[in-house]
Amino acid sequence: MRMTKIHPSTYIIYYVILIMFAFLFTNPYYSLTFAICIITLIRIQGIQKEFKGAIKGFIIMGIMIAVINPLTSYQGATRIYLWGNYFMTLESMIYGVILAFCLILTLLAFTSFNKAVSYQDLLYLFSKKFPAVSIIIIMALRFIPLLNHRLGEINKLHDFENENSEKKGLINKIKNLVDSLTVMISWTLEESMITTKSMKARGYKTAKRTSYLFYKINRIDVIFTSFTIIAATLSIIGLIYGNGRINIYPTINFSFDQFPLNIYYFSFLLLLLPLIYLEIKEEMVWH
Amino acid sequence: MALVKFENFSFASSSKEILSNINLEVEEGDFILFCGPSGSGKTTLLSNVKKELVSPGEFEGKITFNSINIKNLDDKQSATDIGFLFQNPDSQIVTDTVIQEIAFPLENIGMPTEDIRNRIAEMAAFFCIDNILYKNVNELSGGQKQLVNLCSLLVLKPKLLLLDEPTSQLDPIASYDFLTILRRLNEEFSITIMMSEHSVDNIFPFVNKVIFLNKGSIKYSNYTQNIVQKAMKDEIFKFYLPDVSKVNFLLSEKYPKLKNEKIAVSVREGRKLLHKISNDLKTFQKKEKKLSNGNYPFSDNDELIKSNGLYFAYSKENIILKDVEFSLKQGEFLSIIGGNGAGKTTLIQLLAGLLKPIKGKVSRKKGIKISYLYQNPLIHFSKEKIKQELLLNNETELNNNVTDLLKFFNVEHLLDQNSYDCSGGEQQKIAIIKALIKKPDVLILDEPTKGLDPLSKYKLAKELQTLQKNGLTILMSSHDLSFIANYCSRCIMLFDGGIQVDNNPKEIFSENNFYTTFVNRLVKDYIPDGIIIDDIKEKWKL
Repeated sequence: MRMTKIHPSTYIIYYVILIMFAFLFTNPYYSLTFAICIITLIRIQGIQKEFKGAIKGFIIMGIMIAVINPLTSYQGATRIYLWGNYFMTLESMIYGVILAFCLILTLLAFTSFNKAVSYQDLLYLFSKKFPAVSIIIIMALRFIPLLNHRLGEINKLHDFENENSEKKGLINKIKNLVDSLTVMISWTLEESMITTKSMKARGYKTAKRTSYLFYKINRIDVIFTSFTIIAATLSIIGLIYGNGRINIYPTINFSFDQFPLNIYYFSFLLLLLPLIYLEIKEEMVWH
Repeated sequence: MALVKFENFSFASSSKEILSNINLEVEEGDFILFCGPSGSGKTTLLSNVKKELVSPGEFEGKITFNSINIKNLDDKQSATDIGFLFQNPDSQIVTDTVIQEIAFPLENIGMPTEDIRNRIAEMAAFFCIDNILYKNVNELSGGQKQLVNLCSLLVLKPKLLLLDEPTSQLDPIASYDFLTILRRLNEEFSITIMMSEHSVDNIFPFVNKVIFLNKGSIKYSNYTQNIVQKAMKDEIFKFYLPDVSKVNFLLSEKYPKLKNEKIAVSVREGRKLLHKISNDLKTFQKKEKKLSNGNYPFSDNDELIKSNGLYFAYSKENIILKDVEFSLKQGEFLSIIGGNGAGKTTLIQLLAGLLKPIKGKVSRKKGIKISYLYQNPLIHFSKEKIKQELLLNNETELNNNVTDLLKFFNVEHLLDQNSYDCSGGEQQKIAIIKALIKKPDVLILDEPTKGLDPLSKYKLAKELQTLQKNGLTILMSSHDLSFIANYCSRCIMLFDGGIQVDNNPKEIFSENNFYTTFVNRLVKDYIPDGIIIDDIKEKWKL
């Protein structure tokens, strides 16, 4: 249980800004800062496990983007001839790498978002405007695991029954799969009649739906949001003046000895820190 | 003034009469039990009081609630004042977390957030469910699910609860807990309850009125004590009486002294009556405890399934079965009992081969065939008609073996129906026939008596016994102690991941004080190993 209660909309504003910034700020120093901060945050939030599963796929995708981009795009001034007349440009190679890196940062931000904002928080925000959508989401969350469980049971039974039959091969496998699905669908339809009745019996659609979820806007939300907005505005101003973004095409205008020590970089850094600060503060209580 | 009143009410669906000429008055604070065989119209009767649930059909007469015709009730009033609980705990849950499920009806009627939270807080405190409030409903046990379903009706502050076999899917302990809550609601809050149920031993002491339904009309309707006398002579309804009353009735035939006493419906009343005639009753001593293993006249060759050091778990933290040593012998009728989550289903699935052990070995005698029957028989059906279900590969007509089985189970008339249109008992039988077509040596059943009415249960037991006599070995998991006591030859109790007790039912239940049949609870002081009515008849020569 968390002791700092932050309104879900505060979180959403913050993370939307983070995810936008992951794409806008392509300067390697900014990107690295972003990566370090968000990895620290994920570690403190304690979700490395889920994260490890997700990132494997994304690293492969990242490598593919980094490889495919120079194969398909020939923009840029610096040509590197590989064999004969075939060339790639240095710029499109670097662009591919940066794009892949941005995507991974976005994924990181999303993972952290998932941990910070539960689906119930999201529902709370949705349910006021779209009550029908929110009830569909809740029901899906109930029934997808249930159907999954049922399909598992049916498959277990069918595997057992077909173990000794001599018929094997693809066509029979497909036949068995169709059989399993038939059973599951008829079973589920039968049960869903009762679900419908149970909803009707408990007054579904007799009035406009409300929600049991309840959030207050606290002082911390005001401070948090104003902090975020000030830091983000400063960073954007910096971006307009050319801080934090590098031009790749036609030639790269970046060298590693230009460390961006200015107010815009610091406001970018500050923007990344508040959640880490809050999480550490929470941890301190227990030690 | 009656809270609910049926006036000459009849109901027909697709020109088949389901209820005919029902006249009934339910006072506020009544706790009424409806009994009757499957298809006698209990569910239809209950759902006609709830206007949202009335199925399409023609009706005559009227039902009033607080003198207002049910049909004219305001939507919101019908939703809040009348609560309806269904049989299956799983299929009536709509949302994913407990708190959301309890809040669901309040959200539906558009109650402000603050009030919703007040009511949930009250419910959570009264029913002690605050520790499961944020759990996912899939993690709950059947009893907890049914309790959540009840809470989600009670937050609406209903005046009338309609319960359609609410405990038929629960194990005996969970169903007793559930009934205790109903009793509190009835006694402490005077909530009117109309409930249908098959197993009546627990319930009879709680209710004040019983109504026996058959073929859509009311056969008997009276206060609990008075109805036993009449129903005892009825061919169908004698199955719907508590064992305690049946024993009481037998005794009063022999000892005229008891004729003027009230008939007992609870163990407490029953034992009081026994004390009155204790001088006339013969008392037996308990026999020396027999050794549990080794007293079966079997050699190792008769072992059909055997397991050694069996371990099973889905996760490291929660090991379900530990080091289970088990053997099943030719011709046994073995049942496995144990609390909720003790691993009964897991064990029989391991023995059947549906699951693979994580450690240890299950060995099956070479060449034996095993058939497994799932808890819910519907999982076995995928064809349009029952006839198609029962055809073996490439057959176009049923073979003799199958027709014999159909005759034996008395379900020939169902061949052209769809399996979903049959009653629970019929589905169970057809699933068993389907399993028997392959001529198995061992038939494994997972809670075959769940949700069956007493008459079907009795018939099923007789049929299983005949099959056993013809050489079939039967292994089943069950919660139904009286069924086991009457028909099984051996019983195993699981506890703490292993086999705790392994003996014949008589030995087990006479040792137990709580986890035993109602008959044994009643006569323990006189006949320690009397666990079924037949034992008592024999010992006391009734």
